[in-house]
Amino acid sequence: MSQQQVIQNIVGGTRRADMNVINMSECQNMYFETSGEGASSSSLLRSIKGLDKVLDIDGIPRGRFVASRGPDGNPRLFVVYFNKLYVIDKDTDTGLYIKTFVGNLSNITTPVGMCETGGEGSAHPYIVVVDGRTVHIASTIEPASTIASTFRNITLPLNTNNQYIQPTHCAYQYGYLCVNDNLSDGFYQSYQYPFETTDTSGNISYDVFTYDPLSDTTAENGFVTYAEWMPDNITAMIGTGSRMVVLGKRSYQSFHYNNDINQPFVSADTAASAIGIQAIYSLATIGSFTFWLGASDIGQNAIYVLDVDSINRISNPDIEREISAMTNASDAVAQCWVENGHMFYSLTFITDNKTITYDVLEKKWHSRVSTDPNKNISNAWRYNYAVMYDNKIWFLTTDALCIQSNDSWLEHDGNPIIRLRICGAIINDYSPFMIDSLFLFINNGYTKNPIVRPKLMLRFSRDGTSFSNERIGYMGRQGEYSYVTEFTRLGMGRIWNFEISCSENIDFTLMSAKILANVCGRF
Amino acid sequence: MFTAKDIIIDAYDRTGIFPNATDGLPGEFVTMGKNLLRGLLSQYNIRNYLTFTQQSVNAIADTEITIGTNDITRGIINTVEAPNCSTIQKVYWNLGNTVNSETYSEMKFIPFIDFERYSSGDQIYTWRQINDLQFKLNFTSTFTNKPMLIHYNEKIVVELNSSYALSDDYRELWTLGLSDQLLTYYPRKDDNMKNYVTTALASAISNITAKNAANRLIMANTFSKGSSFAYANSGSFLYGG
Repeated sequence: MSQQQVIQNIVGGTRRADMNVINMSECQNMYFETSGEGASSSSLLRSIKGLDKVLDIDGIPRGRFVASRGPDGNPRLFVVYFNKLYVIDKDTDTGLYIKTFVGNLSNITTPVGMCETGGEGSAHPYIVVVDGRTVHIASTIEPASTIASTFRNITLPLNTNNQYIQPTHCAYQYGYLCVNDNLSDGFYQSYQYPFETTDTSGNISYDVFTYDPLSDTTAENGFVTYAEWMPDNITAMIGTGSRMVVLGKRSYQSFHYNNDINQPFVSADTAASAIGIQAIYSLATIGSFTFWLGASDIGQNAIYVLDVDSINRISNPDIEREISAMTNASDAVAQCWVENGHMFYSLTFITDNKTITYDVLEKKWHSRVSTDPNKNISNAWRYNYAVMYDNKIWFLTTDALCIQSNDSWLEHDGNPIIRLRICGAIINDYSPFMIDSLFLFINNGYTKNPIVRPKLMLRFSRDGTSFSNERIGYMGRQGEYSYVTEFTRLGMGRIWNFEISCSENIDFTLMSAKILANVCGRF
Repeated sequence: MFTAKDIIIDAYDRTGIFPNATDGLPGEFVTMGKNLLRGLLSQYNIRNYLTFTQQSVNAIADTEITIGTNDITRGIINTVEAPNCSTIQKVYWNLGNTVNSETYSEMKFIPFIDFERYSSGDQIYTWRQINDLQFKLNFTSTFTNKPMLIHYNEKIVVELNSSYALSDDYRELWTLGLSDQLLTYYPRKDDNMKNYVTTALASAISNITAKNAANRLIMANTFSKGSSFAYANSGSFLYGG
């Protein structure tokens, strides 16, 4: 009799090695979830959700921020596409979202840094946008009709080389607006809250970096804090609420607030390390976690998470090998969001056209792919700059603003999302064995369309060879819960890898698999 | 019409070792299949399962003649040319002494080492293979210059692209035979498949041999004794004749 055997590693994350025979595990457009008590399988792979288009906005997205207070006291979403800053408001009558142009930024395509200043009433809360050249602000509480009039630039200080600083990142901490300088190892902060000041002549001054209201003087060189731990330029910075982290090519340093107007940010002796940042826009934060793609002697090509003061490496050697083989890893753009308790950190490599995503909850990686609609080419995931707003998770993509869909597993323009899983190696003490049948335990019968008979595709690899021709299987029509998805007669091999993929518009969930196998009595 | 490759792919498919090999069998498996098939067909050929390899050639007897494949580059010229000859099956003496005569008498085969024990007038012959291309036949001196009809089997060539214009029952026989060999070489822990193939193979062999029985080529080999229709009809088996 052939033996029935449940495959343990059909469900898992991406851990693809540079040699097929070592490990081919890959998880694309699906994420791992440990099942709850009493579940039919201990873990499963869930589909990522489809996306619905909310608004058409021309251009490549560059950033987003949810300001805490809009004109009605509720949060308000700001997005940057190409060289334009827009505010997104919800029409309370129709429930529709409306975009309003706020102002023009520098005409470049790199991501922007955004933060808000807080404040209310006469101390207007501002949205701050830095784009590597200029710091722009706009009032967040101004209604859509007049918000464009509040858009203005802030005069930048000169650094010690007598050049205007080049801020690419910003953070607002304890009443200070801080921006980095790409050209030096200092970061610049404004004078403390309130953000705008009426000077002695009665004019409102917005030059928070260069105007000192206490002495009513203009300080051309601004208020600077040097990150002296290692003298590398501050190419990135981010605020996490309790900490402000500045990063350079060779080190990072974490600052905390110090209630001293002359020295508002200080750093403990231990709050720095020789792990730099390779891609300045790989820096992303959510909650107390800060993630980035590392650089320098000990951190090159690894991905780190800083949780308040403790730093951990979350990448594995396989991912690091893959990153080290990339032509340009320094243009990676990151995003973070939380979805059903899964905290995702997603990194999109622009030049190398690849997206990898880390799940903080499960500590596993998966890849996200937008498949070319005309060719079978896997491109980087098209969605970036995730943000939570109005109880929905929003994503920005070229020419569109999208939200996660609850009942669709298609991209916002109807392209299918190819869910693909290559399981880990299936071995039996390295003996050859014959697989007479493979049974997939999936959510058969759960399709919304009663007409469609959803398909899935299987390919398999024996002993690390390239994958076989595809075989098509079915998942059962609506209500066919007991449909058996089975692939028979797969043959003999020592090391097996199955590739299961599905592009149907259904909530494809892979729970487990089983084989009917027979060991072969030879080596 | 089928090729050796078809047989190999079918056999891997049926045994489940490499089913649905539409994306191609790995090379080591193809080579293994080819070698096993070559050995298998050689055996079947000697056992006379393969009627289409059976040939005959006229020759003039002498105390010693050679028969086989000529190869000028190696300086091998046989007395009688019989291309691809792999085994000598029978020799008949043409009683009419002319090629067109239809009266034959079977020459009795004697092993080479026993040949000298017989007298020069005995109706005997012997043969032995002396190299890969040549067979040497010896007759007694009485039969010098007598016309002979020599039956031999051609060898069967097995290369991947060798194609065979043969009937389905041969294709089935070869596939099952190779399946049986593969299941010996790649044994499953459970022998259901092996048992099934063995049974099917036995049945295929019996079909092939039964088909040939009518031509009296495969059945017990003597003309005078055996299970021929004439033998059965005579009733001689009843009293030990």
